[in-house]
Amino acid sequence: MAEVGPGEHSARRVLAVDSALLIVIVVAVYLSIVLRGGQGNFPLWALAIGFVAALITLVTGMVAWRVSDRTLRVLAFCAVGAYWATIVTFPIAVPAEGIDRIPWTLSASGAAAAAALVASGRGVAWATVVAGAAAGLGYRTLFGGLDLDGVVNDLQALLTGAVVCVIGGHILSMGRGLDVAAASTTEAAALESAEQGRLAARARAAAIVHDEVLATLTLAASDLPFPRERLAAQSREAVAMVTRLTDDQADERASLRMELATAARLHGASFTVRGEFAWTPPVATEDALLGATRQALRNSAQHAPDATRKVVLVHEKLGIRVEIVDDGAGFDVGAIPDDRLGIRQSIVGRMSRVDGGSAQVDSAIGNGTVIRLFAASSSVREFPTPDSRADLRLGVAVIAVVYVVIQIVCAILAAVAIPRSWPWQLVVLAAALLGAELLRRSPGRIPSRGRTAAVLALTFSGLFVGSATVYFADGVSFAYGVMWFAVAFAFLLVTLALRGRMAVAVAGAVLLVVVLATTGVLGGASIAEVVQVAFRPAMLVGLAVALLVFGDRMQRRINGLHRDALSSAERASWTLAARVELAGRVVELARTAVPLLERIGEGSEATASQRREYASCEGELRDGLRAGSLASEPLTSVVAAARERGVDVLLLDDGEGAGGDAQTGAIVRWMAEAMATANTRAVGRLLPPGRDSRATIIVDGRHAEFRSLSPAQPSVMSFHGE
Amino acid sequence: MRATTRVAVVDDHELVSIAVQNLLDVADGLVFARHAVSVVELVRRMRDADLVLLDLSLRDGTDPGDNVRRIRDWGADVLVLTSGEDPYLVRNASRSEVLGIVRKSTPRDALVAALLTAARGELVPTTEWASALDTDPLLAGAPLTAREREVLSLYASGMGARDVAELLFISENTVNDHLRRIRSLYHQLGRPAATKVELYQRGIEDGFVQAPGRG
Repeated sequence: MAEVGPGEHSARRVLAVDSALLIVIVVAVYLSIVLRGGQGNFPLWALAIGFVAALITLVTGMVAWRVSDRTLRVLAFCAVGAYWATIVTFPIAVPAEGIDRIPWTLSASGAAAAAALVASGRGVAWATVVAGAAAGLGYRTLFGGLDLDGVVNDLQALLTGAVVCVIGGHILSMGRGLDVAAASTTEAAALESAEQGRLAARARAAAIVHDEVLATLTLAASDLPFPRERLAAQSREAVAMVTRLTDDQADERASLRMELATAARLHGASFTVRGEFAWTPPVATEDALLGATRQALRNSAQHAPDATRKVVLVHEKLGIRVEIVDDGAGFDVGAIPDDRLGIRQSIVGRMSRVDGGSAQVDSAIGNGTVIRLFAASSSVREFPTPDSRADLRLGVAVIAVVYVVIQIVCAILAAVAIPRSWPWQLVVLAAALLGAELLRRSPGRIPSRGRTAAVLALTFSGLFVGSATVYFADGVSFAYGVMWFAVAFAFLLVTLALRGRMAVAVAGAVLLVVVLATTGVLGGASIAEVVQVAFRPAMLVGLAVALLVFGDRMQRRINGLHRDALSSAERASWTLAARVELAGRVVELARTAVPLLERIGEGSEATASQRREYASCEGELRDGLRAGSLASEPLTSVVAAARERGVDVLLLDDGEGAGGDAQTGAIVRWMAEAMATANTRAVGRLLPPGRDSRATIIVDGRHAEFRSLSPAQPSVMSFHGE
Repeated sequence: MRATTRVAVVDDHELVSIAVQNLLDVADGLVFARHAVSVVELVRRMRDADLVLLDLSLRDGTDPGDNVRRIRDWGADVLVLTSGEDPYLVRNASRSEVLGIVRKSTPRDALVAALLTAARGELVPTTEWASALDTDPLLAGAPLTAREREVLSLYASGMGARDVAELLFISENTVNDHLRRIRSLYHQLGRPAATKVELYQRGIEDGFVQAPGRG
């Protein structure tokens, strides 16, 4: 058997305690009857079996929080077994002289049903409830006691057992749900911390390498007289560090972005990324995207060797798109033979074979070719939880049907037992059924105040009419059978509790007991008789409320755990995104800086233009840290050109991501224009949100601001020039 | 003022110190003292430098703030040199008692000018430094005047003290006063205050909080 989770374990414990409480009440009522001497002369062994069943149930509840799950289930199993033994051995135990009526406790299966839930599950629990009711009715027919009291008792016991099965079963499945939720939370948190650990290590390594490369390029760019061999040695060391870092990266599964960048580079295509990283596709999808991209690039290189090629990776809300574009001669898409593996199989076929994948080929002779690959992201990560709500709804429906049938039967029996009372019995039945129907039709889960008030009014007027009928009827004494409607109305209160009106239900239950007790006392019934009648309604409401409170607590914990798991998973995916970003930067480093560093590493004297190239590369890498959204075309080219001219350029994005893309685009174009004429020094800065201006630029001592907040015409203010 | 200022370099790369030596040769009153690869190595000996050029991210992984404190305890001024300008590291260093933060790839003339300013023990405000402070959320709550914030913002956009003075119609000295006050205020943010009482006393000392019983 698999290791049981703490959620399921505590659900079983609660049910065990519940079972013990039920047995305490049953025993109390049973003793009140025995004290009146109402039972037949059963042999000692038969009494012993019943006593043992009660005792084991009691002990199970008492030790529930101290024993292991396994022990708890074994104990509960014994309790259920003893109850079944009581039922099965009953015919042998009946004394030869016969009995007046069979004991009331025989069909009181609620406690046993709860124990059965602990021991096994819903199946055994329902079997126990049905067996209890069947035994009660069957033995009554055989041995006596088939009267109003007896039948009503057995039927209402069946109903009680059904409630225990449904709510208890719900609690059990919620316990299991709690365990599943906890497990997925732990898993997500572990994933997150592993990702963060990896990211921290990688970030540290990348920072050192970045620093090393920048320092080397800065030195190489200056015309100070260095020992050339020393600079060459430092440069070679920097190359080795970059290589080590990229090799470390290769140990892990490379990100899609890096793989695409590599594929693009190998085929002489440019590579750009658009959009915010939001989703890591499954491995199969990544493989398909990558394979199809490679095939598209191969095709393009083969059929349009002189074309300009580009690969664009677009992170979209709904998934990932990869576009492979060339400006070659193009071809007629309709004329591709079906057996051409390249397009049909390796691109379109490959994409359509993965979940959410698709490919589209656009080409026309003379117009170049665009191949679009798309992988749709699956919806938000879902947690596998047993759908306990659906089970609960089904269970409630079963109870409702059983309820209606049983109350009708009880009303008919009562109308037969009390002569000339049928109109009143009909009124009581109508009140009970109408109340149930009102609750069933409530649009929201929690019935409105008006609806609740109406149900309560029906409950108490029905209760009053029923009680008055019993009180005024000739020759009818206060007893369980004639008071059948007590349980019927208690069920309305249980339903109110189930649907979120817990306080009202409890108050109603108290009032109900008071009404019953008053009727009993006025009718001259003994305390024991009053207890017998009031016990089941009170217990039903109490049981439902207690289990619901516990269930609610569990549900809240499940929700909390799910939230934790979700935010953990989110953080992990952000960390992953940051790592991809970082990995991208290392690739960038390898692409741009390594060729230059290798040249420096050769140790030959640098020319003036090579020095400027080093300075330009150094500036570009620095921009990777601080330029943010300013690092985009056309500014990037203008800045590169300015640096090659020897201009000291500084780009600072302090905008914290404020402002739309359109405005940033306008600012970038504005800066590019201003920087094109720079001779010595240029500083471009995106300002933090909340300032008067959006951006500033200083070119050779001339200062200008970008003030516009609308993407229309920027109002540029120049303060002073030269 | 000192006749000559001895300058030491703490950097992973000896080549950086060679570059600095080359710069010092053309600067009056500055002499090269020593190169060390870590602050521990530097302060192990008796103090033999007045100004230390400290690399912001040393490979031994030491914290810039700690490094600055150690050098200050040793008795020298600190000017920080950086390769890139990660704003977090720049802020971290700015909260400690540094004269300024200068990028290694700054053009040579500007670098020499910065060294001379630092040798006089004066603040070396750079664009990167001002930008890192200007965007620090910690400073948003600090008691800066509107004028001081304006000066910082203009400085962060790449202007020099003269340009800022001209634009705001104030003297260059006033601009420098503003910058000095911003710097000292920023140091307060870096100094841990043990108790609320201490924080309050420090506020009175620094003039941010009105002392009671005088009004």
